Amino acid sequence: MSLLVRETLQQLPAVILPRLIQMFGNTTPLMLTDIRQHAHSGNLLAMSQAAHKLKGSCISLGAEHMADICKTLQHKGEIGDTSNINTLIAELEAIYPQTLQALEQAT
Amino acid sequence: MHVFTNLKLMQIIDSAFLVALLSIIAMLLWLNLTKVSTDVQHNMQVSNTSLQQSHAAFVQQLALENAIDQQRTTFDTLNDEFFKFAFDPNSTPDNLPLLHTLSQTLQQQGQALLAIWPIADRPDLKNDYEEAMGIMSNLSVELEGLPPAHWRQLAIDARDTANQAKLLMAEIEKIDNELGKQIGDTILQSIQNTDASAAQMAEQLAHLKQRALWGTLIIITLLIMSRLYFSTRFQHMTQMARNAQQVAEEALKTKARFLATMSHEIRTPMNGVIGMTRLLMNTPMSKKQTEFVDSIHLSGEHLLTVINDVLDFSKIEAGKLDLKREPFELRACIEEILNLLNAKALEKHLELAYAVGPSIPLFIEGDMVRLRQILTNLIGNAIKFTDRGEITIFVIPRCQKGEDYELEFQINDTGPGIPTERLESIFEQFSRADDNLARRHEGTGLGLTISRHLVEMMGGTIWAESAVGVGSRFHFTIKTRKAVGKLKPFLHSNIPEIVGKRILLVENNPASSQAMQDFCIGWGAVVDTASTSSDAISRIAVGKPYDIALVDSNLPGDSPLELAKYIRQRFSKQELPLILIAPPNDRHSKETVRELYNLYLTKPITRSRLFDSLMTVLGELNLISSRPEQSTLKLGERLPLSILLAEDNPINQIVASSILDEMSYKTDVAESGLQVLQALHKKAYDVIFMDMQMPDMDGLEATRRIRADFPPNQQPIIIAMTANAMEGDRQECLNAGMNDYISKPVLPEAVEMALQRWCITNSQPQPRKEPDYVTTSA
Repeated sequence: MSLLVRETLQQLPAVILPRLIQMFGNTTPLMLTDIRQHAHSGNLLAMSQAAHKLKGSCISLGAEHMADICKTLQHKGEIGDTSNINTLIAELEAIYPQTLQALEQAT
Repeated sequence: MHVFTNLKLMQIIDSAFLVALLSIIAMLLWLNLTKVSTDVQHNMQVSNTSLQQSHAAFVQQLALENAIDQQRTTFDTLNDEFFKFAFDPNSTPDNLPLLHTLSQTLQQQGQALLAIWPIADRPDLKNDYEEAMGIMSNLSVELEGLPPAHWRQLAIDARDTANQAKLLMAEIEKIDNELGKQIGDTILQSIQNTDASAAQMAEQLAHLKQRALWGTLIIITLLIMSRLYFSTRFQHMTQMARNAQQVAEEALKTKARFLATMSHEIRTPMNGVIGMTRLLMNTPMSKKQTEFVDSIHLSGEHLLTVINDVLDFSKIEAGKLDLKREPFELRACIEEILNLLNAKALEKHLELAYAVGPSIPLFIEGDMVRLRQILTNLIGNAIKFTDRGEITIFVIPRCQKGEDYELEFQINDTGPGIPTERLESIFEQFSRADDNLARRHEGTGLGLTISRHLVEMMGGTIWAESAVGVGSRFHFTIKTRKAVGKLKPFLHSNIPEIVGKRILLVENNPASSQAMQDFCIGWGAVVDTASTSSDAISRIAVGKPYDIALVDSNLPGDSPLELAKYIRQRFSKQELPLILIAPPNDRHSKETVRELYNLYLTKPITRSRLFDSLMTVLGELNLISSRPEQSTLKLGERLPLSILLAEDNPINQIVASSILDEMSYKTDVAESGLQVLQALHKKAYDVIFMDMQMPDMDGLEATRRIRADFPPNQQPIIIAMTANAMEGDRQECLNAGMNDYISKPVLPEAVEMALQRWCITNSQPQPRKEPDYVTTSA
């Protein structure tokens, strides 16, 4: 599972990339906070929706690893499975800075 | 500037000093030589006079001596005759005439002597002589009257007088000799004087020589000193100028580096501004706002062009532009440019055509991006400044040595032309052929300068020829070499399907005709060309067999259709397929063309398109039904649609709308299912791209509502966009009434295919329960 699928970025119009990555940097920390808070409060459905939203951003930018974790979290949220959620969230938070860096370097 | 003023001053001083020294030398020489020459003249005059006087005196002395000798002889003779007469007893007065004659002779000689009498300061001597002469000459007369007794006495007197006279003459001779000695002394004196003056002159000349030597030495010393002084000063100044030049060059480079950096820094946010403006254009705006945003967009695009030019120019100036040496396909490079510029040419109904010499290798080595930049600039200019006619591009090999080639590119237009006086400066920076024209067309005026620099970096030259009112021709050369690259199918020669096929090419543009002929022959076809439809008809009429006919739609009047009708009367579409070479906005009725022709070949003609067309008709495929119109126009220009994008994630909104924007679609954005319904109530949309999960109301629910609530003629095509790439999701979408489904990440190809599938074939989009095709881009 790679951090970043560069081909996805290459498919996008070059002019919008800086803005997209900037938006990713601006919106992701808030979404990560949402996911963690909803997980803490046990509102798994809300966590699932937040994970879905972040997944959308990640897929569009080719952030494959983050998208995959979001997908798992979304799925767990939908079926009410709390196992490993904190580990997954921690992993998501951990790879976010690397992903952002990889994105910034890719342009 | 200061240095150069000083330098000029120094030069003036130096020259003045040199002139002054030379003048002094000339003046001194002149004065000294004048003095010498005057002295010589004077001495010559004195010596001449003295010699002339001496000569006259000498001549006179000779005459005197001669006269004295004669006189003596005469005296002696007369004396003897007197004695003979006096003492001869036989003497008679008859003998007297002889004495008379002698006396007369004596008197005459005496007169002659007196005439050359030498001494003025002795009158007594002269009187004595005259007296003696008078006595002697009278003696003969006296004798006549005397008796013979007295004759003896008279003879004695005569002898005494003669003796006295001889004494006198001896004295005269003595005096005269003294005078002669004096003359000799004078001559000697004169010779001595001349000698002395010559010696003096020699001495003067020696002196002059010495002085001249010293003077010259002093002047040479002064000159050497001045030379040394001035050369030191010059060296100093040259060094100063060199330093100044270095500083200036460094400053120029720094400036160019600064420009390059700044241009780069400006370009990045500028791209952002333009990108965001394009997205802004896709959002609902008032008419005024749309105008403003359009204006921002146009200005932004222009600014970006300017910045790119400045960046290139400053890179070149700073020496930071490096050319790549990579293999690339020259013909494809030109075709890409023509594709890119075709829309602009079409707007003005200009023909674009190109031909590359068949001996030029397919792949050459070089920097394709930069070559494209030069060609785009030149062809773009040609299109910009030409209002009617054609733009042709030729590439010809100028020379070839082994694998090395020098290629010449020619870009011809039928524009207004460039006046001769402007042609020379056209490649200088900030120069354009016509300032009035320039005002009509935006740009930095750097394009040709950049092209010139690039051409020079490629080892070539660039120049232009023009005839006002006829057109212009830009030439440039590049040095390159043959390279090896991966061949696309149509780049192979002797394609089995095409080999031996007989093609009739009816084309009135020589450049296009040549290019297509070269391509077809390269693939192994046998090509007949005709430039008019009647020419083509006559070939068919005589029974020449053809497998394919290519006809240019630009033949005059309706002749493309008439030619096709003539052919169709004899051959079916299968027997002799016809291809119409036409621009996307062809003037002929599409209905008629479809009846007569098998296929359109869209201009500008490129090798790949021609290849595709030939392969299509040879494969007995009729592209008119499956590929209605090949076009370089963007989908949104060919197929205008109103599109709504339903997506709540801001990143995905930008991604999807920018992809649609690239296809020339402006999209409206809704962030939830409810907003979709509200938007649909305000305006009918042809297509909705619908995210599945949105706040308030998700995509499935929104679709169900649309399908339930809106009349059939307002039903949009709904295409789902979702990251849930699972079969269950797909089915759920279709069940909710969506037409199609594309998975995230959204890719341009998937969007374009979905739009073409649903919007070209369905002029009246209807909801479908089951799609017959699903586009995925996993």
